Amino acid sequence: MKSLLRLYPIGLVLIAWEISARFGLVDKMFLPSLSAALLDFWANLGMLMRDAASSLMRAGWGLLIGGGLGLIVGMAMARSRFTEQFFDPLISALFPTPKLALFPLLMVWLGLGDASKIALVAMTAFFPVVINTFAGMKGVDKFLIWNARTKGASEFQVLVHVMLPAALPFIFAGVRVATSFSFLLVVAAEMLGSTDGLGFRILYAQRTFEANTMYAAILFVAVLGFLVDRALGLIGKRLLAWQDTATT
Amino acid sequence: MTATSTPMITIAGVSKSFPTPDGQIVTALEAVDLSIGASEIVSIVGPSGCGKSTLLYMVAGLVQPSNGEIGVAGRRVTGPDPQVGIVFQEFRIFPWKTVRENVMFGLELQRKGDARQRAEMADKYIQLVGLGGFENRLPKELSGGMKQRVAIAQTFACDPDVVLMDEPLGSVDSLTREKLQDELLRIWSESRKTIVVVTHSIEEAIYLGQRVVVMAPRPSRVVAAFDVPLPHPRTADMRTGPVMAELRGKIWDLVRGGIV
Repeated sequence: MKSLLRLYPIGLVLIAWEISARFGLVDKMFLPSLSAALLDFWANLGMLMRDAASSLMRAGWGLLIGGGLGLIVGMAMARSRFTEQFFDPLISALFPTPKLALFPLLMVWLGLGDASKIALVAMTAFFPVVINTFAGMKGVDKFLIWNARTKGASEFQVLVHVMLPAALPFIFAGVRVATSFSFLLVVAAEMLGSTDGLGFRILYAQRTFEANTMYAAILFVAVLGFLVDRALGLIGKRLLAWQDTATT
Repeated sequence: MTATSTPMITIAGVSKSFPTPDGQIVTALEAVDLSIGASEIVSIVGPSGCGKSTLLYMVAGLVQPSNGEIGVAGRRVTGPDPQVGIVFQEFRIFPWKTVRENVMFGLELQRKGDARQRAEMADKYIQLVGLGGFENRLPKELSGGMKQRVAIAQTFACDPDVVLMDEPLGSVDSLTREKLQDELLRIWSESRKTIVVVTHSIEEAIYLGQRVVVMAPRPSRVVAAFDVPLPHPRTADMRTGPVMAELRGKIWDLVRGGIV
């Protein structure tokens, strides 16, 4: 209840939105009222749910593939100097490149279906995870590793029992950033070339002058993103409860 | 108990030097010769920067000497060995593991007993260092001294033949410290492990050790070794007795001379 009360700024903005639309302060074509958007959401529930399922599936697979590769490559870079020297310049060059710029290319290669979107999300999710995994594993306290080694730990046991848990706060932060990137990218990609998904729905509604549906889809994306981030926050709190951080 | 039994640890002509980024060679430790008998308890005392930690890391197989050879139980040290346990300075325990999980960790790695036996073994050592009731706490809930005791329990639970301790009581308050010194001596006399304790407290070095090895910095080296003419078990009056005073004075003079 207390955590819900803390969300009151969001409530205030929603109320302001409803009032300004109700009293005709803005054109209904530009900003329909919140209630109109919610009613439209209810009317188109089935369609929007199918769109959301497509978007979440693409974002999820992309995140899983990109994040998984990021984890593996980040671990390999921390373990071997050669791998580090191989991937470091590649990452430096590719990380700042807007991955969305590659989407037209991906569409040519992989078509208009799921594959091109999943690939785009994976390319984007890879970077925050690989960078954070590498940084986290490099920063593990030498004495923790020594502690395990003097108790008979093999290289693999050191990795599993010491380095990964010690790097987990970093890795988790990377996953969180990658997740929000995935949402951004999947919606953008669906706007550029798709026949379903929430991104497609927003753009299609705009083109057909269905302002209510457009806002319903935008709200849905926002709520989904919010819920996923909150869920990750809660998971992180449980997973990293051991961290000796200053509490607020 | 004399120091002349078969040597457990032999350190022969061991030195350590590091290249610095600007191409110079820094000597961290200069030719050390030292022999420590099985079941002996030896203190190493010296000011900061005298290379005493580096020496311990080399015996533990964590750092390779630049010259010379180290042997434990007749075998040349080439890397870490579960028979040589070490307690690091400043409680290097695993923050994501509870007290019990920390103490069980080495037992799991070495596959000693089943899960229940490991937990029992861990609890025994947790009791021994006075942390009974804290088994399920996370390190972040413990004071520095308590974490240090977890580290001690963690190493002793693995039952190594040799225990190296790098200022193990450095962050423990003085009252607890005296208690843990007695506890350590009791564990030693019961287990007959070979124990090497590095400390910067001369009194602690004398109170714990059958022998005290004195090290000095710049260049880092062993300057002397003294037999401590006090019988075990040690008693509280020995902390302030005439033997303590005399030996303390001798070592103090050496250390002071080394620092200037």
